Amino acid sequence: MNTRKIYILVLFHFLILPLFAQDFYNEGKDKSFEHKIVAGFNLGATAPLPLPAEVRSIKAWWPQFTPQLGYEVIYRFDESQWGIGSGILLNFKGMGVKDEVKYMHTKVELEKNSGQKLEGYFVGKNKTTVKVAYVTVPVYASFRPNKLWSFRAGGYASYNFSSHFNGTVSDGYMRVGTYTGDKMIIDEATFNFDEDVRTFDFGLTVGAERRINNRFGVYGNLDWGLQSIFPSSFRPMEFDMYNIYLALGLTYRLK
Amino acid sequence: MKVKNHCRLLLIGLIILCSTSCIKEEPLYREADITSFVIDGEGLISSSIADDKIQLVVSVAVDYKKLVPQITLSPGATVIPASGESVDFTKDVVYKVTSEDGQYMKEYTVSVSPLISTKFDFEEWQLSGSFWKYPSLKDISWSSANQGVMMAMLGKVNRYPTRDTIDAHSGEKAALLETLKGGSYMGNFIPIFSGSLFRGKFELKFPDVLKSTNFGQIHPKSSGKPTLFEGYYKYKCGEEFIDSEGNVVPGKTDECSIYAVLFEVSKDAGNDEYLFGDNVLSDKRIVARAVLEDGGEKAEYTKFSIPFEYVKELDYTKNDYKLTVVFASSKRGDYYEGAPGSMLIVDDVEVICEAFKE
Repeated sequence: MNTRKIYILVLFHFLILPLFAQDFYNEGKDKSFEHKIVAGFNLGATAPLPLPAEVRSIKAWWPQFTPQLGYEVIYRFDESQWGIGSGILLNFKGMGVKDEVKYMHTKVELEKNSGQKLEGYFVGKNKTTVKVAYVTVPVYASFRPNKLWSFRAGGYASYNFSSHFNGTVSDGYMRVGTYTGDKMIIDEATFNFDEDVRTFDFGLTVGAERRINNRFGVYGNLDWGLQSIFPSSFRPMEFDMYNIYLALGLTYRLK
Repeated sequence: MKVKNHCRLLLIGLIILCSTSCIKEEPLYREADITSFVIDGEGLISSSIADDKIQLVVSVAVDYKKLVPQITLSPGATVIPASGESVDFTKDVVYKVTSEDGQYMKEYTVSVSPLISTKFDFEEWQLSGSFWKYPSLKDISWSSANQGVMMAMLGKVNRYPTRDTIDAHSGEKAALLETLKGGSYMGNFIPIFSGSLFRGKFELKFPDVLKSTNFGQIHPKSSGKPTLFEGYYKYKCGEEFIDSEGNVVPGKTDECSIYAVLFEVSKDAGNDEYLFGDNVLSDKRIVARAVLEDGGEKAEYTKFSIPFEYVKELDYTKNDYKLTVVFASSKRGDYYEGAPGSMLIVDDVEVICEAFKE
């Protein structure tokens, strides 16, 4: 699926679904459906958990432009504080990080598109930029103790349609093959694993929303990926890396 | 109340996130390298380390049976026999290095030989490399860029740019240097690999590959003053000259490169001082040069005999000196220009020196 198709799909959900929803809403006197547009910003990291011993220090972290935009619908059971919710979101996740590593297992493609990678252990500095774009469908239980607050917990599934995972290694050296292998001094070299990011991601989601007025609210959702973003058949680093992002933003209730 | 409870839950979640992402204890060192191997006192002339071999050159006065090496290791590693221990070097000695974490081991074979010879017949070759193998001269005071080519091509090399040939001027073998087609490596475009052979050490550096060739070996006073650089060579140009952008330059023919350079280094501390690909013929520290002018084709073995041209006086009271001898199948190979297929064969090379007048 290409990027444009994805956007059209998401737009469709934005524009068409609420129309049907409107009917539901008008028919239902109990106001059991709640429809809203959510717009937020993802802050977090695509990182191994726990941090492996190979990571010696994290020098800097900075966010990417990683918005979240979508439509959500919550069905509330009659006169209950509980409900179930779902939706569809265009979800960008990403970060930049500068760290220092010792014996980080890496595969560096020396010759572009040769499909051959130099494998070894790197000691030195690393800078990685991650930006992955997903279409996300969450499914969650919603709990609304009062008119102001609501909480959610559930899971999500994401389809990845664009990914950047690249960076540089510098001021260090690499031991080829083994720790006692040939030494290659690296002042600076680039790596790129854009193509290797998994197509699907799924995980847990928990969050809270507080209404500001009848229309607007603020929310925070923590999405915790349960699957490494690289397949086990191809791991540029020796460990699994997970998407762990907190989305902060505004909700707009449709009426 | 309920709201507060939920907030508390979120907070607990965040605390868990923070605690699992803390920096762990530093792993112990896993490397087992000898980084320097010297002998106390006057006797040591030079020490070369390449891969798993160490070659010491000592003056004839030294007693091989009681040498006390001072060894520097990669951090945390240990070695048997230990540094500072007296060892009999009448035969080659194996030094066993163990990494700090005790999991990795490397063995070095140390050989000691008398005063550096300035005559080279290129008869003895070996395979070097700890992971993949590449050809090199058994005398590890000579190096080539083969190790770099091996790593760039992940060990899948059909033929190395520097290797032996039976087309010898005398004896059984000679050194053959051939310019080969390159490719793009780690975002760097390297259109050709020139065959090279030089006195010094090779240490692959990215992305400034010109700094990988460390030119120079100690030239002790006892070896005398270099006056003449001699040897025999054959040269054939490759068909298409390729510039650093990878384009064919019509009408341009390749040239070989043969020269020797004597340069000054800091007294008693010059072991780590080298010339590199970008300054070997132009650096201020150069004392004398002997450069072959005619880099053109020679179908049959041709003798070269080039006098050293001095630009400075030698003064062993102020400096130490290093000598390098460089052969390349493409003169502009340092800058990734040359013709694939260019082939230089060299044999029976000698740097003739005269004794210093006291």
